[in-house]
Amino acid sequence: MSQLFQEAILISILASTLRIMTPLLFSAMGELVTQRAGIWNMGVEGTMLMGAFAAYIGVTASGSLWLAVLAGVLAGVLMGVVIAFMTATMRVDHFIAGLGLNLLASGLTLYWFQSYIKRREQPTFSGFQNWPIPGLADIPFIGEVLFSQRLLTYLALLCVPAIWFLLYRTRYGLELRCLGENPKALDVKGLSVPARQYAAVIFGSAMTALGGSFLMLGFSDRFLADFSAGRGWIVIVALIAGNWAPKGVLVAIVAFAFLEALATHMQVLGAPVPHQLLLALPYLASIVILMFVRFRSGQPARLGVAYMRE
Amino acid sequence: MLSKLISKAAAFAAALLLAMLAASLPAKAQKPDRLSVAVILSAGIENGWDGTFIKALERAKEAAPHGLNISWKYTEPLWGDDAGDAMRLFAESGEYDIIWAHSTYSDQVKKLKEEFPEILFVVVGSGNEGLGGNQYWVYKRVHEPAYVLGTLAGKMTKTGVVGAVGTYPADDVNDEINAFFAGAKSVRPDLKHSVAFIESWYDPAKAAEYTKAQIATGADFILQLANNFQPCEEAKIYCFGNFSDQNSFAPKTVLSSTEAVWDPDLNWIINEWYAHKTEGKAYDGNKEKHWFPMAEGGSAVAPFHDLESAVPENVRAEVKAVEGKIMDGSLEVPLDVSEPKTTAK
Repeated sequence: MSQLFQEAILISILASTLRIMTPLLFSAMGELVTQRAGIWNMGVEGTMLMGAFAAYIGVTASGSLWLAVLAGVLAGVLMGVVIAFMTATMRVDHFIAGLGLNLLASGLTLYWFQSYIKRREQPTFSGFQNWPIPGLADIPFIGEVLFSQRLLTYLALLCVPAIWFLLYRTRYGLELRCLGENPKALDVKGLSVPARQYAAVIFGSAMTALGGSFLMLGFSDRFLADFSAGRGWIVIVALIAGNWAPKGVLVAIVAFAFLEALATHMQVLGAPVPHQLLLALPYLASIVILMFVRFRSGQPARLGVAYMRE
Repeated sequence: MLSKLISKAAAFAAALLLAMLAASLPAKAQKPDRLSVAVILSAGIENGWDGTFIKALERAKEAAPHGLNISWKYTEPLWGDDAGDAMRLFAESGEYDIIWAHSTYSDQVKKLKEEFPEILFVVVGSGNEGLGGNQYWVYKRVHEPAYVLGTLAGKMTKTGVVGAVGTYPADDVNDEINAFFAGAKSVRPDLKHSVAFIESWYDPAKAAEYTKAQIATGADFILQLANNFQPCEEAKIYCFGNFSDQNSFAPKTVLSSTEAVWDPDLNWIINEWYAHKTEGKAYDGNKEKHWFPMAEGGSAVAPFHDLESAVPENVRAEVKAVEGKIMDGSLEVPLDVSEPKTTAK
């Protein structure tokens, strides 16, 4: 256990934290935009899965990692259109729409995957490599943790201030937050509520799918059924725990990723704790956080409520 | 008059006896010329566990034991009640002679086996209950090839630390990991080893982090049971594949693999079914685990492919010798199914 505090191990834990964070952060920032617009999108898991699958097809068919990212994002756009149509146009219950979409994504990706590989050997790929930032990566400790990551990890971290700026410092952000709090105010000003909801959900789903694409291209060498493995639900928990604010969501995700990285290393180092307990640690922490935050909810007032003109 | 009556009665009794005898004998050996197998998959054919079995079926079709024309139909991955429903549909269709449920399905078979006594049910691997009768329990151990790979890793490791990333600590996972470590220790007694379970059958991203953590703690040879060679490739170390020759997944990284070979299992089951059909031999499924060792073709060590030159010639010879000793019975690989623990410092 004492070796947990050795420098090399600490670096490994922190670098792992950043890697684990990356897909969650993309997806959470996307879902944040969606939910601030009043759409309780429960389809995060399915959207991440679709993004991951499209990225897999993209990279194995074209050989280009960036085309694969594009394919993943486009899959997210399509998922966004479906979710927006169901929630903003058809006014289907948001929970049911999202849950249905998760099941659809799980079945469709498996079916497409089987059709894609048919009877041949499953194609694999080499994913993103680390992209050390010249100069900064050589700083002892910090350089290895922060500046020797994959390119998309830096982008995910930059996403947080960007989304904050979008939400709180732009006219579009003000309108978007208004969608979640009081859509009628927009409507009486003659601004289209559904059009803005469509835009928010499509943008949010594209970001969510980008997270799924990174999960594929940054970690794996192949696709497997239900590849996203429950990470979409972690994103939803992070949103609630982070009280629907970019900074809070970031903190929740850092905490989750750190606990997971810590649990990973403790198990590998042979900590005298049952590894099942270590694996459950991030989820237990999520539940505890949820218990505390429900008293100070910053949940948008009209979240999950279909807007109807009176 | 009386004698006539007696002789009539005797003739009648004899005829009756003959008829009864005929009825009690198995239908005159109509030798079957075809065999239909319904396969319930647990992971999909792209996965080593299921894929290797389908390949064995293809080889059996080619070999045509007893002159049988073997055909099969397999499902998408199914579990629990869904698998039970699929088995019932297969059974009720009357088209299938064997229902081969390729994982933990004895709970589902239990509900069907009495109702369909002519169908031979097969369940596979750990977590099953040995029900006997028309349920056969195929078990697969690849600990012997894992031991061979362990000696290879023990000979070649520079750091003196080897790792294994597993899915769940199940009986037929533990045996393999323990044997891998035992093999490595047999050639390098001071060897440390590191083990991690991701507690999921399929989560490559989690597998990646566990593998990276092992590499960070010094492991430079990893037995990868959790479907991801990306971290080994990135760290430029060698990984071993599991259950099938996985070199094609990462040709510069997967030095070798343990291979599950289902041919002897399949032949065993086909023979049991055939004996039942032709000789009326009652189904007598095993209640205890039954597995074929490497010497009987139940498992194998995959070739090095293009990485042969990466292994020094003397190491190659030594590893081959270990494999030979297992094959001729002079070396018995210890079967240890206790949960493996990390010893790496």
